[in-house]
Amino acid sequence: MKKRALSIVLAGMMAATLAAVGSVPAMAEDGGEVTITTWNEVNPDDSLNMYKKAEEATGVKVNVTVIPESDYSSKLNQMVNTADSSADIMIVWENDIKNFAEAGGIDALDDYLADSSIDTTDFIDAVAKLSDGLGGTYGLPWCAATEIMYYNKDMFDAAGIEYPTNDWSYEDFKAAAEKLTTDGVYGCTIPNLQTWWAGIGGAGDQVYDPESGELVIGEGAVSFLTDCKDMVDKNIMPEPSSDTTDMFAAGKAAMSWQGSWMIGSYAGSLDFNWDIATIPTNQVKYNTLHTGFYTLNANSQNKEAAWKVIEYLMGEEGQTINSKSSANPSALKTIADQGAWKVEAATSITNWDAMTDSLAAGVFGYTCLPSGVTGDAVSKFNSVLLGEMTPEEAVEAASQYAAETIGY
Amino acid sequence: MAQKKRDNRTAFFFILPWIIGFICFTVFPVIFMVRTSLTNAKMVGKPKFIGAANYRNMFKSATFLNSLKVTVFFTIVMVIVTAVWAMIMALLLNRKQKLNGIFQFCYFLPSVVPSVALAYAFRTIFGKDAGLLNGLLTLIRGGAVNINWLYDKQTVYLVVFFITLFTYNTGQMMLIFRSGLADVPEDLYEAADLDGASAVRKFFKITLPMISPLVLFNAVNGCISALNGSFALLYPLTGESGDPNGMTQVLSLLIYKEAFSNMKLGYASALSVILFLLAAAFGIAIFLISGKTVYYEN
Amino acid sequence: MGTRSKKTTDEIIMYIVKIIVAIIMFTPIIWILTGGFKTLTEFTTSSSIIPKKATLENYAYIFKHSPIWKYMFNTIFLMAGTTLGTLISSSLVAYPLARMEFTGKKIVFSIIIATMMIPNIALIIPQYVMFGKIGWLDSYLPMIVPAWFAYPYNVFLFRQFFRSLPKELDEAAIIDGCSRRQVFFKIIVPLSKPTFATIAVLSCVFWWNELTQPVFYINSDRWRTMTIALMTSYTYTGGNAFVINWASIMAAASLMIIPPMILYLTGSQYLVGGIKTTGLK
Repeated sequence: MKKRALSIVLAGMMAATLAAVGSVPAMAEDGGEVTITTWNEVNPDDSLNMYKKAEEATGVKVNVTVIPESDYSSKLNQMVNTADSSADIMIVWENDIKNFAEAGGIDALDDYLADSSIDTTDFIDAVAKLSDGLGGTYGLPWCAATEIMYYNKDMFDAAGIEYPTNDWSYEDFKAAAEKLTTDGVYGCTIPNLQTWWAGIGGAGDQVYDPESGELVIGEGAVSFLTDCKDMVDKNIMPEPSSDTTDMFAAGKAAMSWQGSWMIGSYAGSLDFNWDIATIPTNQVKYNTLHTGFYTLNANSQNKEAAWKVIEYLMGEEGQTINSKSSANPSALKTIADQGAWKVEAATSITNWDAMTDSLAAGVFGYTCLPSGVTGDAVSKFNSVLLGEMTPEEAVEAASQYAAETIGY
Repeated sequence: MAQKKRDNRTAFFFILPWIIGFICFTVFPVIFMVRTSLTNAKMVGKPKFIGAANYRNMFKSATFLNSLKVTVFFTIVMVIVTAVWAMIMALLLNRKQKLNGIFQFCYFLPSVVPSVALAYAFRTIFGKDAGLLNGLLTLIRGGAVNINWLYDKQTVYLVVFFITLFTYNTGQMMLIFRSGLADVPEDLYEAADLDGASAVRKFFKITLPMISPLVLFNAVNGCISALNGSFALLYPLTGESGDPNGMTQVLSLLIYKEAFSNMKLGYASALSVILFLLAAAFGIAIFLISGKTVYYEN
Repeated sequence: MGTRSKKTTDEIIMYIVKIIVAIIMFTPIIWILTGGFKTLTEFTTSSSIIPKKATLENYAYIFKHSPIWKYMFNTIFLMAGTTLGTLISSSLVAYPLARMEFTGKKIVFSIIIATMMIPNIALIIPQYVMFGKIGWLDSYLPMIVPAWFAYPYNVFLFRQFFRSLPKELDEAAIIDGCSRRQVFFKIIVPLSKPTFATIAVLSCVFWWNELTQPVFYINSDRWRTMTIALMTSYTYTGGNAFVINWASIMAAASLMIIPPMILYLTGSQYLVGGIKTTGLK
C-alpha cells in the first residue's frame, strides 16, 4: 500500500518535471501576435478592455503580461539587460525610460510617428519636456494621472463645513481637518507614497531636479513634516501602523490625498457621498504626473504588429476606452478635453475641474527617482510622524541616502 | 590497488552531480560576486571597474552601518530567544501526560506555516486600531489601549523577536531538543531525586550537559537560519526599508532594496560579500567546534 | 497521601502551562483561519477573533479575482521539480560518502559541511545576475536546476541515514558480484524508503513555504507561487502605496495552512521524525 503510494508520488513528480521542460513559453508563430507588459490588471469587462478592442481593430492578437507593481521596474530592467524579446510592447515608467533608451533597449519611434495619425504636439507640455535630451521620442504616454484630494461629503455636511474648492488655501484645509475630527474619525489621512511629494512640493521644494537628476528637499519638507506631525499629535491624522488600511474608504477619515486613479476604484464602491478637489497647498500648486510610456522593445520580432497596436491604443478610440476603464485622462489634450475619464459610476463627483486643474500643475517629479530613494524618504517621514526623528533629521538623512544612491 | 582505483572512479561518478553543482552554483557565483562588487554594475548598461569604491562608500553610509548593526543584533538575539523557547516547549512536551500529541501539534504547526502568512497575521494581531493584542489589553484594562506595536521603537524589537518564536527554526529546534531529552537516561534523574535535587538543579546539572551537542548544533543552525530566514519574515512584516526608521533593516533587506529598487547590482554584490563574510565567520567557528564534537565519528 | 496530592497539583500546573503555551502558539493560526471569514470592514475595525457574521465573500473574491488554482499548481509544480531533483542527486552523492572509501572523501565532506553554512541569501545576487545572463529569470529553472545537482544539506541527511545501515550489506553484495551501482539501486534505495519519504516531506515543506527565491527570480503573474501571490495579489495599489485587502489575504493564507496541517496529521512520522533526525550526531 505504502509502496504504491510512494511510486505514484514519484511518478507524479517525474511527470511534472517533464512537463516543466516541455512548457517553454509559446512564441508567436506568425507576425500577428504581440505581448505587452503592464502592472495594471486587465479590465474584466470586455467593453472596457482596451487590449481586446485593439485585437478587434487591428487583427493582431494581444497577449498581456501583468507584473506586480512592486517588481515592475526591476523586471523590465532585467528584460532590457538580457535583451529579452518575450515582450514587444513595454509600458515603461518615468524613471526607466531614459536608461532604456540610452542602453538601446527600446527603439526611437520618430520614424513610425512620421507617417502616423498620432499628433505629438498635442501632448501635455510636461511629456514633451521629459523627452528632451533623449534625441528622439522613445515612448508615448498611456495616460496622464496625478494626485487629488478626496473628501467625504456626508462628514462635511454633518460638521456644517463648506465643501473644499479648488482654490482652498492650506489654512482652510487645516482648519477644516481640525473641525472634522471626531471620536473615531480623523480629519485627514496621512499622505501616502505619492502625496508626501505633493505636500512637500506644494510647500515650496523642488523635489526633483531634472538637470542633475537629484532629490531636492529642504525647508518645504521640514515645514510640511512639521505640520503633519502637529496634526498627528492632535489626532487629526492617524499614525502610520502595521495594519494599514484605507481609512477614507472605511469612512474613518474625512479627507484623503491620493492618486487620481483611485476615482476608478472608489466609483460605485463607497457607501457615502464623496467628491474631489485639488490638493490645497501652502506655497504653490504642485502635483506629480504619473504615467507610463508605450515603448517598442528593440529586440521585438513583431515590431510592425506592435506599432499597429500602439497606434490603436494611442488613438482616439483606445485612449477613450482607457479613460473610461481607468478614470485616467489622456495625455493628448484634444482627447482629454472630451472628458471620457469622467467615469459615470462616480456619480457623486461634481468638481471634475479638480482633475484638470491638478493636471495643469503637474510635473514629472519623484517618479523619476529610484524607488529605493523615495521609499527610504517616506519611511523616514513616517518616523517623524511617530516622533522618532525631527523633521530636520529626516530631511537630512533622506537627502544623504539619495545622494549616495543617485551618484552611483 | 586496482580495486581502490576502481572505487575512486565509481565514487567520482556518484559525486559528480555535487561537483558540477558546487562549481556552477557556489564557486562560480562567489567569484562572480567579488568581481561584480568591484564594478558599478546597474541593471541596465555597461558596468565599469571602480575598484574598492563600493566598499569605501559602504562604510561611509549610515544606512549600511545601521544595517550591519541590526543584522548582528538580530541574529544573535533571535538565536538565543528561539533556542530558549524551543527548549521550554521541548521540556513541557517531555513531561509525559495525556494529550501530549495535541500539544505538540499546537506547538509545532506554526513552524510549517509560510512566514508570509505569519507576517501578515502578526501585522494585524499587533495592529494599532483593530489588533488582537490591543483588543485584549483594552478588555483587561477597561480603557482603550492603542499601542502601535510594530512602529513604536520601544516595542518593535519585543514584537519582532516574539514573532521569531513561530518560525520553522523554532519548531525544528524544539523537535531536536525533544529527541535529545528522550535519550537522557531515566536513572540519572532518579538518582538526583534521591538526593532531593530541585527541578532547576536537575535541568542544569543533568539535562543540559547530556544534550549539549544538540544545543551546539541548534545554535549553529539557528545562526544560519536567522541570516537566511530573516528576509522571508521581515520583508512582508516591516518592508524593505525596515520600518520604523531602519530598526529592522537587516542586510538581506538592504541587498534586495539596493538591487531591485535602486538597481545598483554592483553595490548589492558588495553588500552580499559582507553578508557572506559574516556567515563565513559563523560557519568557520562552527566547523572548528563541530570537528571535535558533532559531525565526525571516524 | 501528601506526596500524592502534591503530584496531582504538579500535574495540573503542568497542564495549565502547556495550555497557555499552546494558546500562544496557536493564536496566529486561529486568527488567520477565522480572519478569512470576516468582512474587510470587520477585520479592520474589530479585534474579536470570532467573526460577528461569517462571510464567504473573501473566498469568492480570491477564486474569482485571482487565478489561485494556477498559483497552487505553480507552487506544487516547483515543489515537485525541486524535490524529485534533490532526492535523486543528493542520495547519489551521499552514498559513497557514507559507505565507500575513496581518495579525497574527507575533503569533499568538509566542503559539503562548509557550504551548508553559507546562507542562500548571500549568493542570491550573483546567482540572479548569472541566471539573467543565460536567460533563466522568470522561470523555475534557477530553483529546479540546482536541486538536481545535490543540496549539501540533503546530502548530509542522506549520509547520516545511509551510515546507519549495516556495512555487511554492501560487502556481501559485492562478493556476490554486484557493482556499486547495483548495490545502491537494488539494496540501499529499497532499504531507505522511509529516508526518501522523510527528505521528500522536508523538501516539500520548504518549497511550499519558500518566499525568498521566488521573490527574486519570478516576476510575471504566470509563474507566481502562492507565497508571492499572498504578498502581491491581494493588495490593490494606489501608485506604490499598498492598500491591503487583509481579509482576502487571510482567506488565501488559510488555504496555505491546510496542506501542512494535513501533512502533519497524516505523515508526522516523516515530518516530525525527519526533523528530529536532522539533529543527529
